Order: sequence, then structure tokens, then C-alpha cells
Amino acid sequence: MSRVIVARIVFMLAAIFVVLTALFFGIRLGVGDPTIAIQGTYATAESMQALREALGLDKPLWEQYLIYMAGLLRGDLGVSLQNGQPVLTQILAVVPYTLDLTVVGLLIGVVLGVPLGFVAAVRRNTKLDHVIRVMTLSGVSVPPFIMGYFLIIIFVIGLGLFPVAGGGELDEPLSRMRYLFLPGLSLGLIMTSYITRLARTTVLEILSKDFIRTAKAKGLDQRTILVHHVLRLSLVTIVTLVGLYATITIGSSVVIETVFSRPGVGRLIVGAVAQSDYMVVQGTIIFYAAFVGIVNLLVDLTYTIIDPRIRYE
Amino acid sequence: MNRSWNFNRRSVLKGLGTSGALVAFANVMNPTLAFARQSGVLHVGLDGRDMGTLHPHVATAAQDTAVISSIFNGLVRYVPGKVSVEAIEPDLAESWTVSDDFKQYSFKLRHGVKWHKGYGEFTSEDVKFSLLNVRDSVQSTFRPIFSNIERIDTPDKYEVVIALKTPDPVFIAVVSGWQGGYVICKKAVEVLGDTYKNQPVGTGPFQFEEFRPKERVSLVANPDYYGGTPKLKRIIYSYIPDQTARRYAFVQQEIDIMKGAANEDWLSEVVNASKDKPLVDLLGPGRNVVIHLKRSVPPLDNLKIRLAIAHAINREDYQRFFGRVFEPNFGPIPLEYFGAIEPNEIPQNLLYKHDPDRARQLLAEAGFKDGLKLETVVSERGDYLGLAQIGKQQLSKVGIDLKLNVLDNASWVAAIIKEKKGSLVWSTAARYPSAETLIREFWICAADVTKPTGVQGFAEYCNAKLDTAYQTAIAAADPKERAKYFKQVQTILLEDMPSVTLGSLATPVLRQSYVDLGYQVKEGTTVLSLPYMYYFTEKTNV
Repeated sequence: MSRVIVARIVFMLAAIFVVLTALFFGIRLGVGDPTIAIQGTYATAESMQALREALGLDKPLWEQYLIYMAGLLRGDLGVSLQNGQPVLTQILAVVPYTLDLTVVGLLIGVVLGVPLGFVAAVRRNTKLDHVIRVMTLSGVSVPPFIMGYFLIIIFVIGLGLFPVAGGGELDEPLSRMRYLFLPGLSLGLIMTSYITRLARTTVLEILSKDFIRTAKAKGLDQRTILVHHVLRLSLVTIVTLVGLYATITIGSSVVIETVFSRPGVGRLIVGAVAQSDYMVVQGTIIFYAAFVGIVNLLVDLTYTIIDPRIRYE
Repeated sequence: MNRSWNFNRRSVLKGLGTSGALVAFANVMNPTLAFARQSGVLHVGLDGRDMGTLHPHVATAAQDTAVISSIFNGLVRYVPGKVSVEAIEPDLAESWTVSDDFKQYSFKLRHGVKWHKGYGEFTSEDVKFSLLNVRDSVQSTFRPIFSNIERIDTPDKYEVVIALKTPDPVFIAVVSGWQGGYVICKKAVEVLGDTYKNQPVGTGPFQFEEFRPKERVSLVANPDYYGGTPKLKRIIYSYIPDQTARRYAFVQQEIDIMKGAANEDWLSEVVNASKDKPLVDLLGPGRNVVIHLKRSVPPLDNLKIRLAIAHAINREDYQRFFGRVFEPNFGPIPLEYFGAIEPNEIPQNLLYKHDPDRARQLLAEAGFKDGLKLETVVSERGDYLGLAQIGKQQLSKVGIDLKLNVLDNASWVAAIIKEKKGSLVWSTAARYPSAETLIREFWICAADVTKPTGVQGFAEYCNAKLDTAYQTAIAAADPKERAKYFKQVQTILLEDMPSVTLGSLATPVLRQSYVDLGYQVKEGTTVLSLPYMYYFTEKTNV
């Protein structure tokens, strides 16, 4: 088992290396000169050259690559071309906000989505099922920013209950929760829709299996069948896909962080792309790649707990 | 009736748990906690994404200059709310004298001014260091403006004498508190090196506290400020690039001041949605909106085509789109600038009013009876794109089919400056309100972007006659004489039409009614403020 984990980690690092190398050259060849983004319309040929030298962008591409990789091995992600701050410090400063958001989003999604999907499947083709299906279809169809604005209109403009812009103070739990409520709920409702649909399909599939018919024939009551046979088995599929959804959550959180002007890794990367800030783009991509890798690893390990028949050799 | 109360451990714990959860939820939802106005803390919502640099000699972005204006001082400053040579008052310098030939400026400095964060007393050495830095450093954005400085002497700690290469009767504006005129701390730059740009040390009413990337910059009151301890304890500048989020945050009074959108409907919508009636101020000097016509792109090298474009432009359309934020103008320089040519001073034959028939006739004379096709690049930024789309519409009415390739702002800047792309280039520039600033940047021969010295001469225009008139104007000591030659420059521009000026756009800024700026601002008038944000002084309060 531990050999499997080590192998997976090595594989993850190799994937990050490939992603990063492709990104390093792709972004430099494709995006163009960040000195213009920094100096704006005041830029002259002379001032751009001076800035390029100061940022080390005048060196050959391979040399810049080696310098960057050497730094990376020392845990140095470089310095933002835009604001001069170390990239790692910037990422670490906003990671708690992004984690808050994704964890709350997923939690709401699981807590609401699994029971809803379960009920919809068990009460298939009833009015309740139709209502749940229409709601979840709307949930997955509505773009995240519309969901954000929708909640702002209800909770901020209508009821005046929550603040709209910012992330609150990290060391003040109340302020942190207050600023998390609306973005967390936006993401949570979107995730609920995904997870409800997933849970419904999974449960329906299990309900049509032979062993369920056998269980019914044996005279087991509905409750026992659902809890002991259906729920347990459906969790394997649900956990796998919820793990994958964690990566979707990251995508939606980029939009939600922008709508709520909330600090976070998503907003960091959007700003960096807009400002051609290679260094921050690279740093955040490494973070995302590592996040996706770790989530996948955790999902794989969780299988063995939920379904003891699964073994990694 | 017997009613028995059964208390057991479980029920008590349940009760406590439920009430705890309710109290916690109530706290999270408590509106008074969420948006309580913090006394002495001013929240400003900026439209930028992030800080670039807080080094005053490098920064040009509006979100940076807004913050810098509260941290630094110049030798002199504009009276808050006004920007002109006549409205200059002492700041770090107590007094100054000018030699008769306008080639020497002597300043007596204020005693006992302290640098922030214990960097000691402000002296003449700092002034010398600062001015040499802005004149000579390759990183300095404002080198051309300070290149006239020949020598700086510091006879003692509190005296500075600046000798100029050529006479400049308005040099005092150059050393005012704005851009390169802000004095930086010699000792702090030596200690902090390159990080000075992220940890600025100034002499102003507020000192740098903290920067959270892409989130906010906060400043705290400088208790040693020479003008007295500021009334505000803290200023928090938040980066809220999303216009809708900024609007909601303002309406909910989460922020006290915000940059608005240049759109009349948007502004009135925000005012109507707000609880207390907030105030909308138009901050100027306005950004001069110009379409530069690139000479190297045929047939824009043909004067008739350029004049046809000038006649195709209908300024009323822009007024409808932008509302009171837009002030139409037919001359190349905004009317509030010193030396601007007034509409009644423009000869009739050079006043290119909206006349589609005349435009079509000019096109036909130039050999384009059936119209012509042009292609250009434009920034996706709302104001540029809006301007370009209106322009495209107007040109199509006279038979000019303009294809717009929309790029993100950084790529657009790269395309027009580095790659010299495009045919019609929209620019919006606001500078110190005197004609020479815009002429120097856009229309003298050295400004031509195809030359190494070129900054924003997107029209790739060069006329020796114009350069001579410009040089004569800036060397003239008598304001009337200066204005006369500036107007001559503008007449040449109208004859050659390298660029079509549409008018100027002010920056709308909204403030809650409870914000006391500490100085009088008349509602409905343009507030002149070069950082495009209010000046926050020691008297500002909420």
C-alpha cells in the first residue's frame, strides 16, 4: 500500500513538472511582454528594456527556465512581476480563503445533494422527483456568477444581511464566517445540483441490480435495503465523483471569488493572467496541479475504506 | 393540571447546543455587525486589480497614484480641489523664489518634518536625491519632464537651489506633489533598496501599513504629520475590479468612496439605490479623448481621408452615451487646460463639425467614392471599447468600414506601442492641465512611436513648424506669449489633422454623504485632482 502511495506521489510530481514546463515556455512565447502590461502607455523602448533587464527577462529562455527550476527546488516560486511580492507568500496568504470556500461549498453540496438524490431516486417519477430534477437542472445550467448575483440580490440588497465584497479577517472567526456565507452558499448550491444528479443516477442504477430484487424477495424491509445495500454501494461512486467535483469547485470558485471580490487563489490567477504576470500564473498553476493530485490520491485511498474489496497492489 | 418539567443532562445539553448555534447564526447574520461604519476608518473601493508599485517616480496606474497621494508630499502642492499654477501653495517648502530669467528656483524648506517609520528628519539632501532619481533613473517614468534640471545645490539642510537648462516659468508645477514631484526618502531607499516600492516611506498625513495582494492596501495616520495628527485613523483601499460588486458594496455602505463608471444611467442608478443620498463628483482634469490616425497606414497618409474621418465624427453621440462625464471639444487640447484653443478662436475652415455629406465628398475626392475598408486593434476595456464602437458606427455612415479586433488591455498596449499595429488608435490621457503636456507626449517629432524616444505619438506625425512653435511656447516667460504659441501649435494640428480630438472624459467618483473631505467641494462642478481620487488630508473624516 505505501509503495502505491509513493508511486502516486512520484507520478503527481512528474505531472506537475510536465505541466509547468509546458506552461513556462507556452506563456512566454504566447502572451508577450509583461513590461508593457506593467508600464502601460507610458512605456518607451528604453524604459521597457531597463525593466526587462531588472526582471531578468532579457536572458535566453532556457537560462530563465533553469533559474526558475533551481529556485523551485529550493521552494522559491519567484517574485511577482507586477507587485514585486514573493509568489509563495501571496499564495499562502490567500489559500485559507480558497480552502474555506471550497470546503464549505463541497460540504453543502454533499449534505444537501446526497439525501436529495437518494430521495429523488427512491421516489422516481413522482412529483417530488420532478421538482428535484428541475431544480438541479437549473442549478447546473446557471453560470456561477449569476448564482452569486442572485444571492446578492436576495441577501444583500433585499435583506441587508451580509457584506458583498471582501474576505473578512482571517484571525476573526465571526468576520470570516460572515464574508464566507454568500460565496459558500453560491458554490454550495451549484455543487448540490451536481451531487444530487449524480446520487440519483447512481442509486437508480443500484436499485435495478439483481441483488436488490433478491433482497426484496427475501422479504427484507425497504429501510434495510436502502440503508444497508443501496446507500453503502452508492457511496463508492459518489465519493469518486465528488473528488473529481472538488476540481470543478476550484473552477467555479475562480468566478465566485471575482463576483464577491474575495481574496483567493482563483482571483490571484485571474489578475495575474490579465496583467501578464508569468510568475504568479506559474505559481498558482503548481498549486492547482498539486491540489488536484492530492485530491485524486485521497479519493483512491478512500475507496479502500468504503469498499474493502478494493485493494491496491 | 399537572405539568412536570423533566430536566436531564441530555435535554440541558441539547438546549445549550441549540441556543449556542442560534446565537452564532444571529451573530453571523447581524447586519449591524456586518456593516457598522467604523469611526475614523475610510473605505475606498478602487477599480484596479492590484497594486503595481507605490514608488511615486514609477507609478502611473490610477489605483497606485490614488494611494501615493496620501503618503507623499512635494515641495509645493495644489490647493485640494484645484489644479493650476495659480493654486499652488507651500508644502514641504515654506517659500520659494524664482530668478528673473526663470532659470533658477530656490526653496526654503520646512523645519522639523519627519519621515514615516523613524527615518529621521526631512532635509535638502532628500530633495536633491529625489529630483536626481526622477531625472536620471532608468526606472523613472517621468524623466522627460525633469530633463530640464541642470544642477541642484543644497547650501544647507533647509535650502535647495535648482538650476534649469532653459527658462521655465511654470517649473513650480513640475515640483508639485504629483508624480515625479513627490519627494522620496534618501535613507529609506538606501536601506530598503528595491523593496521601497512595496514599503514606501513618505512625509504625508498617512503612512503605509499593509498590502494584501489583489485585495487591499491600508494606510494608518501619521501622528507626526507636520500639519497635525490626521482625524482619520486608517484608510483602506480595496481592489474591487468587478463593477457590480463595487456598486453593491457602495450601496450597502461597505465602502465610503468608490470609482464610478463613466455612464450617466449607471451613476443615477447607484444614487437612487443608496439609502442616504450619496454625492457624485466629477474628477478632472478630464481625459482627452483622441483618435490618432496612423500615417504609415494608407490611405491615412492622405489629408482628405483624415478630414473625412473628422467630419464623420458626431460628438453628440458620445454625449448621449457618457452623459455629463463627457465634454465635447473641437480643439486638440481640453478647454480647462492652460493654452487650449477656444472654439471661437478656431478659424471656420478648421472647425470640423459633424457633416457626413462633406465627409463623403472628401472621400470621393481622395478616390474612394465607394468607401474604404480599414482594420484596427482596440482594448476590451469598457471605455476604450465604447468609444471605438461608437466611432465604428459613425464611420460606417460615410462609407468607411472599420473592422475592430478586440484585445485584452495589456495585449492592446503591446500591439500599439511595441508592434505598431492598428490604423486608428484611441487614447484617453489626463495630464497636468497645461497644453505642453499633451503636445509633448503626442505630437512633437520626438513623440513619434516609430522613434526610440517615442512615447505616445501614435499618429506617427512630425512637423518641424509645430516643433518650433512648441519650443518657442515653452521658453516664453510671459503666460500670454506661451498661450499664443500653444494655440499656434493647435492650429497646425487642426490643419494637418494627425488626430481627431472628440472631447474629454471626467472620472466620476461617488462618496457617501457622511464623508467629510476636510475641504469644500462644490457639487456639480469638476473637482480637479490629479490622482483621480480625492486628496485625503489631515482634516478628512468619516
